[in-house]
Amino acid sequence: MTKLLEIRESIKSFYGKYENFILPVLKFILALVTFLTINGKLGFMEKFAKFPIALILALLCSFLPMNFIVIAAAVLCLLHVYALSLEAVAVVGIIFIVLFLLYFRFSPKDTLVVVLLPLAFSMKIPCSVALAIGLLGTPMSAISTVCGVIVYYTLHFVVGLSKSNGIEISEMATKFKSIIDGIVGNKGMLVAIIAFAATVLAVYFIRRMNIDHAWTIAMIVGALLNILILFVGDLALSTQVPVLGTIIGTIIGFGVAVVIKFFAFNLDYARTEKVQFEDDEYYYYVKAVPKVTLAASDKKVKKVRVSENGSVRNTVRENAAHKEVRNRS
Amino acid sequence: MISEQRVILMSRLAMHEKKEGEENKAIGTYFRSDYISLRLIGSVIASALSFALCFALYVLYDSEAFIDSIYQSDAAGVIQKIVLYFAIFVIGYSLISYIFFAVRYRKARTRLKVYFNNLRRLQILYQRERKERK
Repeated sequence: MTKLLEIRESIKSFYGKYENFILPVLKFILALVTFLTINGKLGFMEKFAKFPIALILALLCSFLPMNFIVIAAAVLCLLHVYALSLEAVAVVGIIFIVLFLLYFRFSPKDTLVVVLLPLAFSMKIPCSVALAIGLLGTPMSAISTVCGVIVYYTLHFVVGLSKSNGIEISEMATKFKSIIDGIVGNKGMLVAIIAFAATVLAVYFIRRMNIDHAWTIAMIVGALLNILILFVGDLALSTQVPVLGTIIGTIIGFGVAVVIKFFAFNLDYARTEKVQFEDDEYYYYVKAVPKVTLAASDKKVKKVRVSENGSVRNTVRENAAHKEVRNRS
Repeated sequence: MISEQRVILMSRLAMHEKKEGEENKAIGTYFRSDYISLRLIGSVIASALSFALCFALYVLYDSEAFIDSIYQSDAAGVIQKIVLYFAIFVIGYSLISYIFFAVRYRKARTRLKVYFNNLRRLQILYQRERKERK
C-alpha cells in the first residue's frame, strides 16, 4: 500500500509539473481513440475513414477546448451516416441538435460524457463511466449520461441498419418510419437509460452520505443496481442483454472506479476524529476523516568534491547548514 | 519570510480564478434580471427550435397520416392542438431554465462576494506588512 501511495504521489506531482504538456497529449489520445472507433464502427464514407484524417483531427483537438472533440465526433458521425442514407442522417442530425439545444446549454462541461459513454459501450465497459460520473459528477450528470446512452443506441442502430440492408426499402416515407421506429422503439435503450441514470444517482447520493466507506459502498451498490436493472429489463422486455458480458463489464467498470477512488478520495477511517464545539449561534458536530497521504521519497544526490589539498567535502551537509543559518536569521 | 496566511488566501483566490472565476465574473457583470432574461430568451429560442425539429420528425414519421388528419378532420383543431403542445413545451422548458439560471446567478454572486472578501483581506495583509517594514 505504501508503494502504491508513493506512486500516486509521484504521478500527481508529475502531472502538476507538466500539466501544460500532459493535457494536450491526453486530449489527443482521447480524440484519436474516438475518431478511430467512429471510423471503425461507422466508416461508411471512405474518404473520411482514413487514418491520416483521424490523426489530423486529433491533433487539432489537442490544442482546442475539450468540447471541440464532441463537435468533431458528431460531425464525423453525421458524414458517415450521410454516406449510408440521407434519411438516416436527417434523423440522427435532428437527435444530435435537439440534445445539444435542450441539455448542453445548461451544462457544457458535461459534454465529454456523450463521447466517453459510447466509447465505453463499444469497449463493453459502460458501467465504468456511469460509476465514474456518479463519483465525480453532480445529479445533473445523470441527464448527460442519458444523452450518452441515446447517442450510442442511435449510432448502434445505424450500424445494424447497414448490416441488415434495411435501408434498401424504396420509399422515402417508409425509410423514415423504419429508422425512427428502430431508434425510438428500442427497448434496450429504454432499459439502459433507466439503468445508467439510476446508477449515477445512486452512486452520487450514497457517496455523499455521512457513513464510513461511503465511496466504496456507493460503488458496490451502483454496480449491483446496474446489473440488476439490466437483467430485470431483459426479463421483462427481452432486451437480450448478454449475461456474462454484462457481469464481466461491470467487474472491469468497478475496477476502474476503484482506481478513480484511489486517486480522488482515499481516506484513513481508522484515524477519524469526532469533535464538538459551539459559538453564539450554533452547536457544531464535526467529523474529520484524514486523507491517506504520503510524500514521495525524494532522491538525494550527494555531490562529493575533492578540494585541492585532497580533503573530501560533503556539499549536502554544507547546504543544510547554510539553510539552517538562513532560517534562524 | 513567507506569510502562511497570505499563501492560503492567494491559493484560494487562484483556485477560484482557475475553476470558475471567468464564468462567475461574466455573470457578475449582469444585473439579476438582465442575466436571467437573456438566458430565458436563449431557452425560448432553443426550445422552439427543438420543438420544430421534433415536429418535423413526427411529420416525416407518418406524413400520410398527418396530411389525412388535416384534410379529413378539423384542420383548425389540429393546428390548435399543435400550438397548445408547443406552448406547453416552451413554457415548461423556460420555467426549468428560469429556476436553473436563477440558482446559478445566486451561487455565482455568493462566490464572487467570498472572492472579493478574500482579495480585501489580502490587501490588508500587504498593507500591514508594509507598515511593519517601515
